[in-house]
Amino acid sequence: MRIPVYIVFVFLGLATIPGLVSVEKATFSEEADRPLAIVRYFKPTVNVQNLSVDKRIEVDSPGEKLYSGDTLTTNKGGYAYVLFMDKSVAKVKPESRLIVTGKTENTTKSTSARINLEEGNVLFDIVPQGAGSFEVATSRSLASVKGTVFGADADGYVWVSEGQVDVTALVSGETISLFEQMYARVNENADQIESGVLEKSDVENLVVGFDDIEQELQKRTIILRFRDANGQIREVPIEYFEKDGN
Amino acid sequence: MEYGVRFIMVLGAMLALSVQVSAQFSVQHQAPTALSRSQINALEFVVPGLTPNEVQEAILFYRFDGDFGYNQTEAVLTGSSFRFSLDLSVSNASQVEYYFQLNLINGQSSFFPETLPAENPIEVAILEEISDAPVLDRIEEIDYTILSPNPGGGVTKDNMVISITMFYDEQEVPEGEFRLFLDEEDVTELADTSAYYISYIPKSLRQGLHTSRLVYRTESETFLVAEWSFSVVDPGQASFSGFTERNLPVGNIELTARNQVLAGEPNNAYTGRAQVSGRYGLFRYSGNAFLTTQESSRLQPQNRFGASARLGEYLLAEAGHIFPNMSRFTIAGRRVYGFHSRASVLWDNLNLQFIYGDINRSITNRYLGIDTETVSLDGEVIDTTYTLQFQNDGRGTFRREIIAGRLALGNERHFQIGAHVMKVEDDTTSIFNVVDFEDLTVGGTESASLLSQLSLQDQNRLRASPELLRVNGGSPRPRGNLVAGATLKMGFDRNRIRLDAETSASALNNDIYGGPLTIERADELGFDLDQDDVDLLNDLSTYIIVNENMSTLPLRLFENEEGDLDSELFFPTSILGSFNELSFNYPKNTLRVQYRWIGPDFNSLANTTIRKDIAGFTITDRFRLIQNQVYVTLGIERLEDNLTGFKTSTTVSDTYRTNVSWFSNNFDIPRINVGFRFRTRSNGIERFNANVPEELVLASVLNFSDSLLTSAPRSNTTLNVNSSITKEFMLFDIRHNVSLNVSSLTTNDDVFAFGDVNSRSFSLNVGSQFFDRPLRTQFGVNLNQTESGSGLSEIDIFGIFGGGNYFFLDGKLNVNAQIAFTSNRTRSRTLTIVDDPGEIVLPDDAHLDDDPLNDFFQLAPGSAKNNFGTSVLQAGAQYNLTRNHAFVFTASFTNVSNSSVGNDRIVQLRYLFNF
Repeated sequence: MRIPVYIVFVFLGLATIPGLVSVEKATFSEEADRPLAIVRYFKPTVNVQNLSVDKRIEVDSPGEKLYSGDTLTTNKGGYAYVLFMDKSVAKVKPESRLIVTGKTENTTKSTSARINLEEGNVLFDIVPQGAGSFEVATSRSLASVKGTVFGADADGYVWVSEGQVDVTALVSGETISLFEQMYARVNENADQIESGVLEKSDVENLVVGFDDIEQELQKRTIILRFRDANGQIREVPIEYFEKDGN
Repeated sequence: MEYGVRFIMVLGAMLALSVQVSAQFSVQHQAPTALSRSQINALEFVVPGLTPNEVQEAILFYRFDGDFGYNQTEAVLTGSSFRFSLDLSVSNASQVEYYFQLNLINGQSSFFPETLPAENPIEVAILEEISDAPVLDRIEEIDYTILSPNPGGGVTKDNMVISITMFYDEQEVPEGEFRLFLDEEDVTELADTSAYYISYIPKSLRQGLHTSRLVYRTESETFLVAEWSFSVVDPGQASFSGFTERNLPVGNIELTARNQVLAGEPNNAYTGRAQVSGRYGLFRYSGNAFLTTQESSRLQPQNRFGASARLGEYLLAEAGHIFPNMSRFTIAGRRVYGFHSRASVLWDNLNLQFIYGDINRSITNRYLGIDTETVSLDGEVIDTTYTLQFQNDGRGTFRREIIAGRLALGNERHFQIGAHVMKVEDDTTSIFNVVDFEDLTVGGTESASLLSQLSLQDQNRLRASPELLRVNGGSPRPRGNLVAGATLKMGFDRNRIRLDAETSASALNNDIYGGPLTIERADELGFDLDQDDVDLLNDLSTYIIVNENMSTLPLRLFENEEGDLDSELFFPTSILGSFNELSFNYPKNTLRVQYRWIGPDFNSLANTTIRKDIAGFTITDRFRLIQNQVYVTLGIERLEDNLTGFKTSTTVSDTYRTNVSWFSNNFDIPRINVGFRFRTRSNGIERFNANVPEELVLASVLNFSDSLLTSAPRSNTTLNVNSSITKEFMLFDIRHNVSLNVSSLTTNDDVFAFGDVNSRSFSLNVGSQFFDRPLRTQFGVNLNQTESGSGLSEIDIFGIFGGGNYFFLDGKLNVNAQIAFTSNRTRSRTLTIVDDPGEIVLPDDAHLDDDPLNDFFQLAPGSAKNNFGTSVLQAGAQYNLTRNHAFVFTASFTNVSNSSVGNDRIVQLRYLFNF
């Protein structure tokens, strides 16, 4: 019956050994490069290629990295939701092709990015830019933004949902500023800009299609109110998740 | 004298031992590895075989950082265990010490731990927060952007990717590496990592809430970079997140009917318990009541009720049976039947507290009668003695009243000064109490009944000499107590540096019959008292009655010019108690320096656990190591008694404490706590007796310095080791929680042959939760072994229990069963005094030299053995009729082997109503 106390302490010590041996130093190899953006959502087929580094990828999982010089292509029926390091977003419609270039600073949250939109339609949601810059270029136009929601297509059409966008005709150098519910179109020669005001319904029509791209769900709460058996009014919060803006 | 003292001491120890041995309940407790300041902690004490009928009260005494007094809190028996809730948020201490005391109706007590519990309590470290995640400091040099998932957002399983990018200047950041955790699992090796970007796509992440954490680990420390939660959701599903606050009260009512056979005697008991509470904004209220047919006018109240109302932290009022706290030197959790209120207004700058009520209720004396015995010589009566006898358990208690108040100015987080006064006094009129014959002549049926037992001749004799009537064991004496003091509290550096000080003075009167001293009474006592002093004592009597029965009389006697004994009032420092603490409470280091001084005559009748005649320094430092995974506590303490120099020697105790708690980030490593305490205690007197042979000096009854008799020498060392280890793990798809405690206490006495104590305990608890069936099981084994007095007594207690809960009908029906067995084995021997060291033989045959100088102690050859086992089988079921109504049935059977007492069995039905 009598158990020497040292045996118990030995047992105690042995019990800790499995834990001790599992402590190991973990390391990982560090790649200095940081992507410029990631393909956060996509469907059904999105390709990324960079011929200079012999990169040809069909995106098969969310989070595919986009480095400076990468070309993103959406096929027919394909969508992509591109998330930049400063959380700016580019929602890419089917049959679009764009080249991302730029750099993100290591020490500050400053991203300088240029999107060369070669084909298709893209809706941008750009976070306010501090020291960084965000530009969208087509063969005809250059849109420079400081934080806004706007759309652009490869034919030089730019429209603004929120904020301000400066649009420049690449040949003539003419620049105009677009504000909320305004549009601009640069002609084929890239030397003239036509601009005007959109109706609210026009903007809503222009957004159509971009919401087909999956995005993060936001927590919502609805409250059910009822009277319980004691006659007391009770409230029951029900939480659910839905797409932002719905 | 010393001979007598030592002999009484030994007999006393043996008597105490015999009481412990005869108690057939052993308390089992699994001490936690650590307690958390940020949550309510539960401490459970299991007493197999105990029934509610046998319990008078169960008290948890607890204190912080080696305080000299204990706070106390009570609990009721539920099943076979007492469960105490300990809120540690009110203290900034680094350690809590506690012991459990179970007082039974039959007058016996059981303790945990069993050996000197007040002196060797359970010690458990207090951590700010016990969570699965370590508390990490943030690193400011690294900025970040969480790309996915959004904090607090939801994402479908198919689109799940954890992605975060970091921004920092590598010149400013110490060398290290990033580690990514998902739900506390290090997933770095599976992640796509670079120096400034990490992403990870989990496979099959279940729906629900998840947490990601990115840390930066250097060679010496781990910093938190980012931590965020998100949900994996199905957009089509909604989740219930609980009810909003309701304004109607919530509560429960519990009715219990119990049929039991205890020690062969059947007994039925019925109890009712109700609790109700509610809130409306800042206003909160609660009420509780407990009624039992076991209520007895011979005990302190078993029927209890109380109500409280609170307005935020500003106002509190409670009444009924309450447990107020005022300060460590006045009252700290003692039950009061009365009223308690507290107010903190003007941004906590004005603080008031008031307590009024009874600590004890009156219990009448029950007298059996007056025994008259005559002493005859040659057939002639030469003397008669008169003894008033009590009935069995007939000794009464006065109603003990308390009134206390406290006023504090200032916010204690910055600067606060306060004062408190507490008066505790017995109501002399609350019971019929016979001190001498005159008390029998005041009339009343009880006194008339007692008088009728005396002949007229005896009555006349006693009228002439009332003091001839003796009360067997003495009559209860009413006592009075006053404690008054001041507190000072200061906080600096956002309250991280604190100064807390309290000094109180107390006065205790052990018999307030007769009121304050008068000139006549002083004259009878042999000294003079002038009218001014009498007037002062009369004024003081509002607060405390001062007479010759004070534990310390504030009168100094001196011989005046005429050669008579005269007196003057003075302030005796021995009635003071003082506590001073300077603490530095920083996240990684907590340093505490205390100086305490409690005089030998400091007394609080509302807190009798305060250690007296003790003073000294205590320094405790606790710091964190290895990325806050290891808590180390170091402590040193020097205490000494004999503060007023009235003792012939001063005992100095030096204590060194070390405690190491390891709460690893790695979940494969169990939580471990190891504590050491080493104490030396000496009064500087050497063991010496030239009258006994050298080999018997340590056993000699008397001690000498040269040829002078000295007080008993004292020199011993005590090593106390406590360790615990807990681990949660999955095995066979069952989640197990294993907790193992090992402790030992070893006292080596250098100057007394029978002063050694060796005690060790071991306990193991395994709780298991099955996932493939609605089953929970519990298994435990514990072993306590204590050997004291170098063979004077040996107590071995072995206990084992196992049980489980199984849920049927979607959890509506819960069936449980537990079986426990406790084996108790005791061996006790007696100490005898051998009169002649030249003849070491049995006492019966001893050669007597009638010289007390060479007497020595010797263990008697035979030992008294007491072996018994307690087997307890409990089974029960709870059926939840609806969400509000439930029935609980329990039955237990207790068998005590090697006992003439019959088996105990109990059948109990409870109805629970929750609303």
